[in-house]
Amino acid sequence: MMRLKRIEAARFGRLFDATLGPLGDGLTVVLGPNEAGKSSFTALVRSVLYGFPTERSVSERPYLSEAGTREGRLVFESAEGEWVVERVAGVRGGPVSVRALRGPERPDLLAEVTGGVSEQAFKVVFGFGLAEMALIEHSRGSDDDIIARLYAAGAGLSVSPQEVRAALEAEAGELYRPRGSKPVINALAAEARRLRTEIGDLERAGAELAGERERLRELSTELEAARVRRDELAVRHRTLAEEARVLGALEDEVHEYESTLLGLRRAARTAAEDVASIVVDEAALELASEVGALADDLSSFRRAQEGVREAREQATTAASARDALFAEAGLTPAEGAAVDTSPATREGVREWSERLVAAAHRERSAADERDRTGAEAEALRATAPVPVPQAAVPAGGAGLLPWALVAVVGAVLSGLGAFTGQWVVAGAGLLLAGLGVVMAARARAAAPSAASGHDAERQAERLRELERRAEQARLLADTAAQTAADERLAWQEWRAGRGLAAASDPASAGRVVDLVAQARRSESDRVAAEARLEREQDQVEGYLARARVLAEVLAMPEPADPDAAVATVARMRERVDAAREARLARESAAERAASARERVAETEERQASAVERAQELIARLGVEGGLAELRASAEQAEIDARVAAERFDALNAECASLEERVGQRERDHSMGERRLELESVRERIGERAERYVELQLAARLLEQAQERYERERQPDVVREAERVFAAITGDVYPRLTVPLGGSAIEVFDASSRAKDTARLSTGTAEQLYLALRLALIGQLDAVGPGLPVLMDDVFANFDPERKLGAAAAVAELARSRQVVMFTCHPETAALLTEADPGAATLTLDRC
Amino acid sequence: MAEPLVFVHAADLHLDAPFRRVDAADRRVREACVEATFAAFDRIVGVCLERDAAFLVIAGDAYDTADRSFRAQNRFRAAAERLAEAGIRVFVAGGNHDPVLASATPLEMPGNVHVFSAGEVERVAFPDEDDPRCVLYGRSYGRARETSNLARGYRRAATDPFAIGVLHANVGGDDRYEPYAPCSLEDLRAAGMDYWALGHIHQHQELSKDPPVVFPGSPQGLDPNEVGGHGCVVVTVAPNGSPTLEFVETGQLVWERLAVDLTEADTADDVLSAVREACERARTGAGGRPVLLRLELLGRTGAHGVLARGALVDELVAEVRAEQLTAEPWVWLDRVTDHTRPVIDLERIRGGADFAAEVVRIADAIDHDSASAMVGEVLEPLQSSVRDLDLELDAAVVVERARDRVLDALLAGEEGR
Repeated sequence: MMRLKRIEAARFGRLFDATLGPLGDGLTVVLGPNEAGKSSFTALVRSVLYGFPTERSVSERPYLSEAGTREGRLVFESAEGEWVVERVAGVRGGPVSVRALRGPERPDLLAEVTGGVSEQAFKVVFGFGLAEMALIEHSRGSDDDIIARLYAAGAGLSVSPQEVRAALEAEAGELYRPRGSKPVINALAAEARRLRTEIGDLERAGAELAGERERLRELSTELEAARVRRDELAVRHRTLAEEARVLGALEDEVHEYESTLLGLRRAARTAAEDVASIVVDEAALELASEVGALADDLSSFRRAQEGVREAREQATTAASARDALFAEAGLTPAEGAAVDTSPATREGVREWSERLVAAAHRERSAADERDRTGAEAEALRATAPVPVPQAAVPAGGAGLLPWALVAVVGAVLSGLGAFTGQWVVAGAGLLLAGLGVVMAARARAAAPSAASGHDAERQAERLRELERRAEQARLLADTAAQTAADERLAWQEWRAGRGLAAASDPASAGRVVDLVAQARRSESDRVAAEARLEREQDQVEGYLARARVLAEVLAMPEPADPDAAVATVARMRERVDAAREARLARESAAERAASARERVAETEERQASAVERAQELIARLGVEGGLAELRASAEQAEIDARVAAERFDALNAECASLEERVGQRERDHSMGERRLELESVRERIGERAERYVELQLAARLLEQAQERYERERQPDVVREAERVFAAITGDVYPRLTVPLGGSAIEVFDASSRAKDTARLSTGTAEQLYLALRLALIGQLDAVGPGLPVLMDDVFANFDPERKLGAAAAVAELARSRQVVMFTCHPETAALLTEADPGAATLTLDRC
Repeated sequence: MAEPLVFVHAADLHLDAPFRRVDAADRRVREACVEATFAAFDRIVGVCLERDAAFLVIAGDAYDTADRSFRAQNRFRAAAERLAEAGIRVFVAGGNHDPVLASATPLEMPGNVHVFSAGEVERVAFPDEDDPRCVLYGRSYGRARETSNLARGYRRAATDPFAIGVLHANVGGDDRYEPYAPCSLEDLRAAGMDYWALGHIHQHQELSKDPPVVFPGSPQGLDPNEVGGHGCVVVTVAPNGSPTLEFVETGQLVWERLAVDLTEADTADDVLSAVREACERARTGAGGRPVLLRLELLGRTGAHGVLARGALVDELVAEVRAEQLTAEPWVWLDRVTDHTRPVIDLERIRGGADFAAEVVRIADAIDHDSASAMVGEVLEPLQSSVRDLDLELDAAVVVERARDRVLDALLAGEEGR
């Protein structure tokens, strides 16, 4: 069994490094004078177990120490060992530690020792003095209702049924109170009433909506009627207005016709006057085509005039050119006429020119050869020592023979040309023959001469050759001269036969032929010009004659010459044009006049028609007052239609406004939402009400159980208190009751007269409280198993007789739980040691 | 019949009806609830259009009230106009919520809407009398509390190619619903119809296969008890006159009630996790639609004490509501009822001799009448001052819960002692 062995005060109030102990296993009586620290040790035990009070605590004494931070230790002991619980003042009561002085570590020792006992319960039940005696009753109904805890403890419960009941009722009270407003159900009920009011309003609005819908229906009917009337009046107005417009238009039409007729008649007269006043040149009009033709031919006439002038000039120019060409050719026109200028003549002249040139050339060449070979032979003869026989002279070199052949071929060609008349071939053959001869001679001459004998021989040979050649050249020269003379003679005959006798050579003949040909072309030009002159002249004369005829017919002056004819024709055209314009003007005037007459007729007809229609309309409408009356009717109809339209618009606006209002209300979800909100509130009310009923039933169940329990099964603890109290009071008060409901504790005397504690003396009341504590602690074996009971002079107000009873009761408790009794009264200590001879006794000196 | 005849059978639209017993504290939820009946009807119209239905039959209670809110009529008319555009006719019978009253001033409906008369069973050939493909027999209620057996007035003609009976009635005395137009299945069979299009019962039911006697249920669940699927029935009548039925869900909001076993829970966090998990379960099972969820917390649990401490459930609901509304589709935690029990051995306590045993014995001794009396006594002041109290309590259960609550409080610290 755990017990408190020592109480050590390091620093606590007046106590400084003070130790109380060793304490007995049962009762320990601590005797000490006032200010010896008895209360301090009791408070120190509570502080070490539950924490030091704060330094500023006003609810209980803090026991500050001048020596420093408060600190204390409790040494517990059991069969298993010894442990110290140590605490130093600090935050939240100060840190506490448990260490083993002997035996195993028991870190949970503090919880084991105090198990189930709150600080307040300790203060009231386990460690108390006179000041706390009454708390056991005064705390009733509060959380620290020690009486209720007695029941709870006695009933095997951890909490007080009374507390539970109070909590249930409190929770129920938060849900509903009959005349409350804040509890949840009360508030929800108010919310529901508010929603019902709103829904009622909405329903009334709904009823109004029905009325408005009815009104809307009526309005729609009215609106339709107004629409019909408006439309009818509008139609009537439009009809009358249209008819008034038509009648007005007819009248306007009639007036307009009158005005038109005036103008038309005036125009007809004017046109007739114009017809009468316009004179037309009929003669000019009759000859208009001829004048037109004349005018059209005027350009031809002018070109003919120009042609006359040009032809005349051309004839003159050509005659002059012809004469000049003949003169240049040295011929008279008659001689010129005899010249043959044909192409054959021109070809003949050219050929003759070549033949004569060739013949002259051959003649000169042959002569030159003759002269040269003669000179060479002469020169050789003069230098040659011995005349070299011709035969001794060896034949020339190898070049002689070819050249001799060339000479033969040339001669043959020349003969053939002459025979065939191919003078060019003949000339060429001649030249070739000459060339062959010359070259053969040179070849011969170039042959090496024999020296001395041989040279002389060769030189003689050469001389012979030269002489032969000279002879041959002379023969050829003679032949060529003869040939040239023959050619010239033939030329003379040829040109005489072609009228070219005056031309001595082919060149002159050719030039004469050209000049004569040109002269002949000039003559031809002249003849052509003369012919054109005649044609143009005829044309001019013809035109002039036509102009003169027309001028005569038109009584106009005849043109004296072609130049005057142009002006005459222009005047004729002007006259014709004027005549035509006059005729058109007269025709136009006549048409205007006719048209005006037709339109007059038409307009008169239309006017008559309009008048007739207007009369018919007036007759149909029955408006004797005519247009004025009709217009007045139309104006009235317009006013009526406007009034009807305004009425319709007003109704339409009212209808639209109502429709909008009705539609808005109909679209409004408020009713649905309010209903749902009400459902929500009702649901919440139901839910809370269910909980409320459950809580109330729970409280009632508890109440019934309490009543039955109190009635049938007085708790042992109360019975034990009753026994202890009777013992202390010497059976003056054999009974007591501790009602569960929190009402006052009552004691009963031997006559069963009840007294509540207020009517008891202080001492008796304290005896009652002591009895209750002792009974309670006696029942709490498992509660606070290591806690000693510390009493601080609680017998102070007891009379000696009751002190004795109380001492006996304390001694009895000390048999089951450690008790420490502090007292400053030696007689009390003596009583206690007498009651419990085994009690330990300790003394304290004044601090 | 040359080709199948398709029609849609709906009933109990309760247009503009407020949801009952819902704590729709959030505006978004409230708006969804207000709109839900209309949205469900719009879905029915969509089904008609998608299935190319020949007509739509509404077997009573199209409106929630006899005066037919203008809003409801207006939405009905708009829907009927949509159907009219597609050439789909609408046959309507008035039920106990929307009897055909002379005093009512309904909006003018488009020409495709036919409301059966209230005086007698009306016969309408579809599409016309000259060449009918089917014949509808229907009768509206002339008063809200119609207690006569209207089914007996129905009789098909022998020449009808396919006969459809349209009636709002309580068949077989279903005590969950008002006993209006009471009749038996035999009464209906006797009429010789090929299909009975019924209304009044809000859960989809097929009372008979041959002939089909069908309650399509309400298109939208209207209170926490109307859980499960809600919709309409698409009927396809084969050329040989054999009907095939298909139930199509139209509910826009799903009511769900789930039990949450907290046996393993010890802390508030455990409870929160379990509630969240239940919300997820509800969301997953709702087919993409928002859910109005009620949870019942059950089990002997260490968390009972935590839950019993006043405002925890309220705080938990507030927190879960806030987070569940942010998800899509949202889940509205309408109510969480704590029916958990403390972890106590009742038999052991009952056999004891202490105060707790006394409490148990007292509770045991309270019989049903006494419990009702106790509950009535507690409720009396509440009921007298709070008009909006509509409690349906099982007094015995309440006593049990009260007992457990007491025991829980009394024994809360027992383990510590």
